[in-house]
Amino acid sequence: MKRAVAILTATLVTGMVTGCVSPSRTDRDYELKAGNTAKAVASSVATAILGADAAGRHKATGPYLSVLLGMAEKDALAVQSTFDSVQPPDATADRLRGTVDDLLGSATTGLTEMRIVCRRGELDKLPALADRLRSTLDGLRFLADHFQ
Amino acid sequence: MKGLLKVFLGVLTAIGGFVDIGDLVANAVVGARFGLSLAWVLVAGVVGICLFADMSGRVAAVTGRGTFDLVRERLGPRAGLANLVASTFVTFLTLAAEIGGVALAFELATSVSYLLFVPLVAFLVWFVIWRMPFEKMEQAFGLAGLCLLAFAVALWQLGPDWGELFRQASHPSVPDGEGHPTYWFYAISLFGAAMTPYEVFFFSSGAVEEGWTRKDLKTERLNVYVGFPLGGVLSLAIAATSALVLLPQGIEVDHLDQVALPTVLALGKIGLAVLIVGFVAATFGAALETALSTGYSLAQYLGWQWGKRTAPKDAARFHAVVLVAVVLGAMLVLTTLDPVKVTEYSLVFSAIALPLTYFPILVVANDPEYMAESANGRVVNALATGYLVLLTVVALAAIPLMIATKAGQ
Amino acid sequence: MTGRVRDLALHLLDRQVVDTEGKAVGNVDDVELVVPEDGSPPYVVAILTGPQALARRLGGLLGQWLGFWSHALSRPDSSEPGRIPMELVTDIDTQITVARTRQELGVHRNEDRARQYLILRIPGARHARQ
Repeated sequence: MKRAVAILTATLVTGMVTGCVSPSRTDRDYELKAGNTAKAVASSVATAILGADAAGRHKATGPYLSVLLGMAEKDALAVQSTFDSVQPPDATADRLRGTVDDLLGSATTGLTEMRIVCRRGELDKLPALADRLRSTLDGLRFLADHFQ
Repeated sequence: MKGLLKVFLGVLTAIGGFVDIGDLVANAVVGARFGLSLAWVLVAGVVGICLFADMSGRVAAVTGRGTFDLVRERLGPRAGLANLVASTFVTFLTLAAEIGGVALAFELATSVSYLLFVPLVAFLVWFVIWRMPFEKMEQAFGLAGLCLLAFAVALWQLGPDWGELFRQASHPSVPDGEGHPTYWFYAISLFGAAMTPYEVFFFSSGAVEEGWTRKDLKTERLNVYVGFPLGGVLSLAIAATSALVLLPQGIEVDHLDQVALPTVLALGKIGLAVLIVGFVAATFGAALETALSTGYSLAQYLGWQWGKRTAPKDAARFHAVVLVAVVLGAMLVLTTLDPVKVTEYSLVFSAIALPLTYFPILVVANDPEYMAESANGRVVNALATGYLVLLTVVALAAIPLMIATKAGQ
Repeated sequence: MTGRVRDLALHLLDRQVVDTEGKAVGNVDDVELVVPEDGSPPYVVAILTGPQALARRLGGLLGQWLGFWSHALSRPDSSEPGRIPMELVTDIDTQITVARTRQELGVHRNEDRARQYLILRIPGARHARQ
């Protein structure tokens, strides 16, 4: 399911890049904002995945992972709320907003799940949760690369 | 062994300059964004600080006087005051950040919010300055700070392509997706951090605290040439581990936990434990260095009795200043201001203080009335003059670059 | 007058003053000059130290500001700068040595206040830790 979202995202984004890039300055601004947002959240997600990797190999302690995942979640939520407050200039931007929003939603939900599991001490469940975030990460990176 | 224990003034000074809380994170940020393409700045910074710390230490050993004493005497009361205001402000902001930094390290170990540790940390910093003998202090925190060598072990364990790392470091270029202004902003940040003024205030005043004389010039040189290069190596190891692990993942470093991540992946729980001890020691050491430097520079500018070698009652104003600085620093951190960001912005003030600190040192290190046969040689003078020009350029460029890049964002 | 000839700005102003025990007394923030009526060279009769003296040297708004605060914060009987007559000066080198202890000179009232109201109230203030 997540993979499907990523593929859909990729097609959608490629379509917009090749087909209907608006020359309008505000539109370009919005795309840049979307790209930077995706880049920042991708960074938090990648951090959490590396942390889960360490957890899976029994390389990190609970308190450390709890801080790491808590920070990643907090950063992602802050970026999400900043992006949501930006006004999309037109219908093209609306579509982009929808795509970015879906990815941000699944990223923050995934990070929250990881944080909850970690603070319950169930560190061995982290790698599985992290795996589910990988397709989101791919989508975010794709957006970040195309709108920089 | 006894000889080795004597180098910890230099080690502690360097740790406070190169791997305090701001630089722990900044080095990882730089590694994750620019790889090793800014390594040359660290080398330039190490050479520069060695040059001037050696002069300030030599002057302190020969004349028994701390650096700020000379700043006032050579620049006069007005320019001296400008330096005092700028450098005290940087030092104070750094002190606040370090108190937060120690608390952040405790948070990594316990996952209890760092804010709860701030009052305890502030008390401990003050208590160590109040009660602990100077040499015990520098040895304890300098030695524990060596735990940061875990970064170097992790780097080795990660098994990098050393040739490629060396190529990155020796052929610096701005990576794709990064602008030139941002690159130069970070270059100036790293250089400014390596040469931050409180290092020479602390090092020279520490030399006086330890009662160094002309006979200790060898020890002085050993301290400089062991301590600062070690600081540079630690910085480089941090940047390299994050270049290897975080850069390929596109991770933008913002927090201390991310700085530790490559080492955790390479060395596991033991590596993490050692690293946290190193974080605590380095940030605590930096807190001591900056708290004392605040007192040293103010006391020396105004001619007060200062230092830990007399009873606190005989250096009452000095101890009052240190106490007030620690309390205000803790209060500043308790406003939930991000300790890491605080040190980034203190750069502006650091820039003003840099030339005004290093110029008087160079003048006095050449003055035969003070130095007799220990005055500077020609090579040292030529190098130091070059660095003064560089420092002035850096001072002028720092503020415009900071505004242009929104502090490197 | 002791008849020592020195470059005032280079060898006296802003230097550290220490007492017989080697403890810091203050900086030479300013000096008191006497210009003889017979036209012979002016000479220094006293070293002035403390914020009031420094304020006069700084001049300008900054000096006025410092002067105002140091005056406002001091007791009415002590608004004059600390004064050390040149007769007490035994040595003018990289630091200035005077033939009295800090207590006897009585020029650092702020130090006394910091000691009395803050430092002596904290346990351990009387012991040096070497």
